[in-house]
Amino acid sequence: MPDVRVSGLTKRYGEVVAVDAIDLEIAPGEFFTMLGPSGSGKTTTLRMIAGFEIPDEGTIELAGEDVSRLPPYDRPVNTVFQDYALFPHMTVQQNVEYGLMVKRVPKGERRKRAEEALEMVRLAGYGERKPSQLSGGQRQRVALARAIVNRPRVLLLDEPLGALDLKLRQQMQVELKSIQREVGITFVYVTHDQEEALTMSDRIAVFNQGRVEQVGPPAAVYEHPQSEFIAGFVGVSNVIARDGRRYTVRPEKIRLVENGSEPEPGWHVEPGVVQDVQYVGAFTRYHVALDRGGELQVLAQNLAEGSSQVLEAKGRRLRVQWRPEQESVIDESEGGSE
Amino acid sequence: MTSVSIDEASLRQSPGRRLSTFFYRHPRLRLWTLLALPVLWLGVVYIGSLLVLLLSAFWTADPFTAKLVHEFTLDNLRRVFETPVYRDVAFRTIRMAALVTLACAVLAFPLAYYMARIASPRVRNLLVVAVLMPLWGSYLVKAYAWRTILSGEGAINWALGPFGVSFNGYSNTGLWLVFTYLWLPFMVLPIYAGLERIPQSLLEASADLGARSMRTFFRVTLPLVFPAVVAGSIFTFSLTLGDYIAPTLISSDQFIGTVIYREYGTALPFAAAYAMVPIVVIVAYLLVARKLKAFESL
Repeated sequence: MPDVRVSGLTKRYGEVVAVDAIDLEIAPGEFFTMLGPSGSGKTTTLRMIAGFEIPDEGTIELAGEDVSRLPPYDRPVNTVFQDYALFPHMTVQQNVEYGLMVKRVPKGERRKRAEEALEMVRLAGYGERKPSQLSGGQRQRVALARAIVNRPRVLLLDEPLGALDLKLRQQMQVELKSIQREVGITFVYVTHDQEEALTMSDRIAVFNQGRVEQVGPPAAVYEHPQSEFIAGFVGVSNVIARDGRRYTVRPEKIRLVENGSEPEPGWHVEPGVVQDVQYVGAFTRYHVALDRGGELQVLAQNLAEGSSQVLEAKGRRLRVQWRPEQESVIDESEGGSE
Repeated sequence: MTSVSIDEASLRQSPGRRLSTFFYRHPRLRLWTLLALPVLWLGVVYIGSLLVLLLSAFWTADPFTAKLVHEFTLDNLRRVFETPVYRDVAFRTIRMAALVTLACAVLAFPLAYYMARIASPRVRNLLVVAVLMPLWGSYLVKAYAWRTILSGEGAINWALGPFGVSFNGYSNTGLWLVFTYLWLPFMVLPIYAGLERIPQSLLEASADLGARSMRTFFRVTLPLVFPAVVAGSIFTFSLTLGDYIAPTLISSDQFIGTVIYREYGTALPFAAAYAMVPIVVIVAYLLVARKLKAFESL
């Protein structure tokens, strides 16, 4: 039985359909990410699972029980909020104990479990501080401890790392993932950061305009995007139309070769002109306009080349090539043939 | 050399521009130019007159001419503390101020809560205007209006008539009603602002952690908005403490304000000494309010 089952879930705000008949199934212990741009309905879906919004249509089941109409306090889920939502008038310890206090867990056990939770997020000894005395990253951990200490069936995380800087965010990604493995709770994670989704998730649901466009493991979503939107949102779109097919090729799968060189047998080869070169340190991004129409981005590792060498490539004619199995078809019917 | 060339450049500019450049280079002078008037006002007119008032508490007045005699004496203060009547008046006034504050808080809280958390933006704006509207009216007009409402033939007795009940409006109960009416906006607005400042996510977090509405209210909303209630109470309490017009119009009892008003024509030093009572009470009140973090809510 799935931990979370969402069927036909719909939410409207006036004329706007924020969430449009969504179906999802999330397995116990899964790290499930809802990925999408702002306004795509991912946060609204999360808030409906939490109980902050009541759906207009459809149902939400948690471990087989229909909770669609239950208030938040009667649902076996806890939320980590984007702005952390720590109670400013309570200490860290009181914040973490809040859920247990509400459920009338005896004081001794409450204290013990709160301390364990703080230890898990590496904040042991911070219990007496006020949230205002903590850094952003520490507040984030307190918010996590405050949710996890209740041992919810499902933990909902609403862009929890959004307010942190890049270094801290990457570090927290690793920590969140290991905490999730340790406690074995189902995580439902909302983010607009495709890299975050790819590195942490067991499965990703890509949201666009209130609908789920694709659900699958990170590799499947990245390598075989089922729509142009996904190709563009999870990575760069790189969509071209050839022989009545529209497909995408990931930029790092494409190789640039000199015009005269022998093509690899079985590879797809096309001539083009380098329009633009961006040196990004570890790799270089080339924009290549193809003679047969369309433009592709190509990523190449700077294994031996320096920045002056790669930048010289601008304006040069050359060939791009890739293995046919790297092509991911988006649309068989549409697209002009040349 | 550089400064000379800058000066030459500034000579070519308009006088207004030269003036602003001058102030830009002398931030201290700029600050004092800005603050001179308010500092003069606060220092000389405001604090100065208060000091003169307090000083005169240690003088006496000639009983025949009512002129001040500049001779140091503690008689006035002694009279304030040792005469039972004046002690009673002080306690009556403080009790009135406390009861008015309590009534204002009880009335203001649900209203402010509705405005801040439930009402639609349109209704909210309407209510803010409605709460502020009485402040546009003259205090005297409102006080006299209430005198009419509370009179034997007034609106209250007219409404109570069919039930065979009559209400003596010209009493301390009537005065309590009038004060509560007069100062209510000063309580509603800080509480409303305080409730507005509480992020929605805190209430959601409390519900998410299993708390029902009542518990969220007592554990999260109330503690966070309490400083704002104290901030509002500073107004309701101090305004009641010093008022002498409403008590004169409505009640036959003496209050601190009416005593000072009556005495100051004939015995200014005693009036000044008695004025120390509300000052001391208010200072004590403000110290407690600061402890309760009320000033962060103003």
